[in-house]
This record gives sequence, C-alpha cells and structure tokens, in this order.
Amino acid sequence: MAVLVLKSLAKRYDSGSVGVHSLNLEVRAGELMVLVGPSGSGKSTTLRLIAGLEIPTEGEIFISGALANPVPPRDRDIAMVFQDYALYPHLSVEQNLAFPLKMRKTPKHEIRSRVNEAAEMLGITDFLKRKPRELSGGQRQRVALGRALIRNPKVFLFDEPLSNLDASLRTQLRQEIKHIHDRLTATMVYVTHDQTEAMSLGQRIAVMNEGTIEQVGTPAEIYRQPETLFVARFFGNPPMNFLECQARSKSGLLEITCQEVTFSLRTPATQSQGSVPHTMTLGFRPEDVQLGKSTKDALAGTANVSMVEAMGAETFVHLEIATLKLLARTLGHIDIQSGSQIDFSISTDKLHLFDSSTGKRIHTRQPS
Amino acid sequence: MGRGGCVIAYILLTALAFFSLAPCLWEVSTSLKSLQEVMRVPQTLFPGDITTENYTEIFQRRPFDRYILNSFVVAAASTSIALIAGAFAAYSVSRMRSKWRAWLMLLFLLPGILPAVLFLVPIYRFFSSIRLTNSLFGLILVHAAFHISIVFWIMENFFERFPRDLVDAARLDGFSHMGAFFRVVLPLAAPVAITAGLLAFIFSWNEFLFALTLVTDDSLRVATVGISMLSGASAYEIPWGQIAAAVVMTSLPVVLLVLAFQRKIVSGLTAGAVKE
Repeated sequence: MAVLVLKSLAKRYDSGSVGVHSLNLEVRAGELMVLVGPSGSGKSTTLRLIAGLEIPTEGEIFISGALANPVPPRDRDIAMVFQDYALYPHLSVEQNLAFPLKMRKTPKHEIRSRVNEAAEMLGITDFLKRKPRELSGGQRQRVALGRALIRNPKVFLFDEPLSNLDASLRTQLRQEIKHIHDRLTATMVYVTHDQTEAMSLGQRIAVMNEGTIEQVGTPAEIYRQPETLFVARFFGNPPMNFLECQARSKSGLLEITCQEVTFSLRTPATQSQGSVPHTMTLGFRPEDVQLGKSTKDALAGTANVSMVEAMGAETFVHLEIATLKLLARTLGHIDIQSGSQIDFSISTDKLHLFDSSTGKRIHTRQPS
Repeated sequence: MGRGGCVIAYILLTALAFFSLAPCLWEVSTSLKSLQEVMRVPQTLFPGDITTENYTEIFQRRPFDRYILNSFVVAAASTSIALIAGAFAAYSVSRMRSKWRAWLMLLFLLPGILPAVLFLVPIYRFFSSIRLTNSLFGLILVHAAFHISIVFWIMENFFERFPRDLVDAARLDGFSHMGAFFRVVLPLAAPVAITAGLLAFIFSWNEFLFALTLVTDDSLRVATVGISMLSGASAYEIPWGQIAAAVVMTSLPVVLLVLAFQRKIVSGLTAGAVKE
C-alpha cells in the first residue's frame, strides 16, 4: 500500500496543447480514487504521468513518500490496465500473465503458483494456453487485470478498462474490480468518463475538466455538494435543473429572482454583501422536487405538467412555467395527467447556488 | 459474380498471367537452345534439342558464380543495413509529435522518388575522392541508402498503427524503451520487416546503374553488370543463349526467395489494413 501525491503537476506538449496544469492530488494508502471527466480533460494524461510514461513539464510525483520523477516506469512498481487490453498478441494467456514476473526474475515455481492463483481469482484458468486473439473482449480484459494483479504492485492504474465492453459485462467486471480492491486494499487510480462507474467504484472521486481538478470528494459529497457548475452538470442522470437568477442583497439576506417567473427566495449568504454576484445559477436535482405540496422555506410554485414518463420504479414529470422547463423525479408511480396543473416545491437546503461568471459554488447557510 | 462472369474473369486473368510470364518462359526456352537454333528463322518456341551448354559456358568460361556471389553479398549487406537503420528511423518518426515530422518523412521519400541518375555523378565523384569506387563496400553503402527509403516507408506505416498501449505495458512490465522496441515491437513487426527486406533485396539484386558505374574491376562485378558484359567471339556475335542462361540463373534466387516467404509478404503488405 502506498500513498500517491501529485504536487503542482503540469504537462504541456511541444505542439502547445496543455495536458494538465497545476494538479494537486493525494491518493491515500489503499484508496480507490476515480479520476472522472469528459474526453480531453487530462485524466489519462494524469495517469500516464503517474506511470512515468509521460514526463511532467512541472511538478512532482511522490510514491510512498519518495520522489518518482526521475524513476523510469519499470522501476516505479506500478501496474496499469489499458482500455485496449494491451496484451502481447504473440504470447499465450499464461505467458502474458507470467511476463512481468519473468522480467523481474521471479523463480519459476513461484511464477507458476502466482499465475494459477490470479487465473483462478479471475476465472480464466481454462484459457491459459490460448492466444489473446482467441478470447472475447471480457476475457481479454480479465487477462489484462490478471497481468496487473500478479505483480502485487504499489499502485494500480486503470485507464478506462471497461469502455470497450458491453453494458452487462461492464457491470460485472466493475463489481469484480471493486471486489479485488476490497480484497487487496491496494492503492488504485481509476480513470473513466462514465459517471456511473465513478460513483459506484470510487471511494473518492476527482472530477477533472480542461486539465484541472474541479473537485475531490466522496461520491456523496460530489453528488450532494458540487463545488462547481461543471461538477453539478456532470453528475446526475437525469441532470440537475438549472435556472439563471438575479440576486440582490437586502438587509443581510439574499433575495433571488429567477428569470421571468416570479418566485423569489430568501437565503442568507455567508459571503459579505459586496462579493455577492448579480447573476447566479440556481440548481436542484430532479429528485429534490416535491410534487403536490408546498413546504415552508422552499422555492415553490405551480407548474403545467407537459409530459409524464412512467419508468416503473420511478416517474419523470416534465414541468413548464411560462418558458421555463423543469424535470421532477418521484419514486414509484404517480397519478398525474399531462396538461394538468401541479404545485411543486424544493426545500432550500436542496438548492445549489453558483456564481454564473466563475462557475463556483456560493456557500449558504439556513436561516436561523 | 455469376458463374459466367467467374469463367470470363479466370480466362482474362490467365491471359494476363501468360502475358506477364511469356518473356520469362521465352528466356528459359532460349537458355536451353544452341546458338544455331537461337538464330534460326523462323524461331522455335521450344528448343528442338535441349542443351545445357549455355549454363556450363557461363560458369566455366566466365566467372558468373563470382558475379552471383557479389550480387548476394551486396544485396544481403545493403538490405541488412537498411533494415536496421530504416526500422529505427521509422519507429522514432512514428512516435514523434513534432511539426517537423511531415518534412522528415518527405526527406526519407526523396531518394525513392527522385531518378537515381540524379545522384550518380555526385556520388561517383565523392566516392572517388574517398576511394570507395571499385569496392563492394561502396556499392553496399549506396544501395543501403536507397533501400532505407523503402524500409522506412513500409515500417513507419506499420509502427504508426502499432498499439502504443502495448509498448507502454511493456515499459511498465520491466522494459526500457529500447527493450520494449526489441522484445515486443520488433517480433510483431517481423512479417512487415521481411516484406520490406525482400523488396530491398530485390531492388539491390536488380540494380544496374550504380553497379556499372562504381565498380570496374571484373572480379567485383555483380550479376546484372556481368550479364551486360557477356560478349561473343566477335563484335557481330551476340551470345543470346548464354545471356538467357545468365538471366535465368540470376532470377532463380529471387524467385525462390519470394516463394519461400510469400505468405509473410502478403501478411506484411496487408498489416494494419484490417483491424483485428
């Protein structure tokens, strides 16, 4: 188990494009950290910098407290699982698994027992003699996982390992990776663009955008307390509702008016009045919209029901207030007809306020 | 394609194959005829009396075995140099991200597309000044320089499509960058390297211009020049039979080589064309 620390890490390419800039991150010993973000956000670059496959332009990487920058990839004691499996096509499954051990001059009998152990753990014992091209995608990725596991490295890196697999196989292998992590309690960094994968796998998640980290936190923190507009938009399916609002400070309270709709909200800002922005974005999750009732201390109103989608376990209700479109999500079945009118409310503690110009969260506290 | 279309295609392909191979068959036939029969009008398609005297002549009265050996030395050595240098160059260029990459590739293309005669005089004068004329080594260097272009372009194309993850995996598994190249990339590039090597070998084997100009010593001549130097008893006699025999003997090694490696050549030429 190793602690992995990235300090002011930056990578700029000769072509002028920026991979990552000024990245700070600490992955705790035995932690499964997920780097998530859209393509081009720098998550794979970060992973390759940790592995030593790319040389950072600036900054430092520490593995178990030791500076790793001058250490070549082969001596960093890191194993990586790639999206395209990266199995040696000219070697059998058994030889692929044994390869990293052979390179480290491990005794033959030990190689054999560790190959068998890894093969059993991943259920690939029957394919040991086969070549990678004779295996399905899922089987190949299992072999790739095995090749990483067998080394017992300080840090495991996963570069979108499940992207090439179909949905059911993805779920299955995701569970296996989680199981492997629980069993080995190894330090793992897992890159994905899939928010579901990030939420279900990560003990903590680092959300990346345009080469920087937007927020680091547990899945619950990321979902419940998004620190930026980007994080709020990225997580959640269906996504968060957003309203463009105008804010005014009035006798120590913040009065917010959202678009032409006349609901206003009074919430005390923790920030000083002078720094309160005029335009802000208000967000709330579809499941936080309460239908048919109006509670106190809430953003509330009446809306037209434009569409109802019954999904079985949950129902999506599309609401319209003038030109404004909102989505509400309720558990189970709800008896509403399209075209009808309905009261709705969102409790103030479920509202997320963001500065529209910087995209940063505005921290508020409940009225006392 | 229907059955009729299939038959027509076969007839056309057979005709085309015959059209291409006819000169070779004619050469083989001529090599087995006596000089009188070669000169006879009308010409005979097949030799009336099969004779091997042309073959014995070129090996007994002329040092044709020496020419073939020289050809082999030059082709093998220049191909080896070109393969090693070309593969290294191709790999490094394939991994480059510089804006100069396209220019560098064009530079490698030049010796392959410019007429060889353009280089003849400068190379001759340069080689004269450093005493590399009249030596197989000089010829090997020139051939290698031209072959690098072929090897580079074939292998660069392969390396560019080579999965980078595989090299990265090898580097994490315990190889240096060079180690990964030698132990993982090159073994997988073998069919492509064989194809590039064979093409280079054949070019070298057939090369005439530089072989004629740079080497004048008879014992250092290669087969192509040897054939052109074959002459009869008088200026009016052209030893067609011997020339044909020499051509057959010169072509044979290349034909055998291609036959031996034909599967590898096909897989090398189509490497990367279809995603596995």
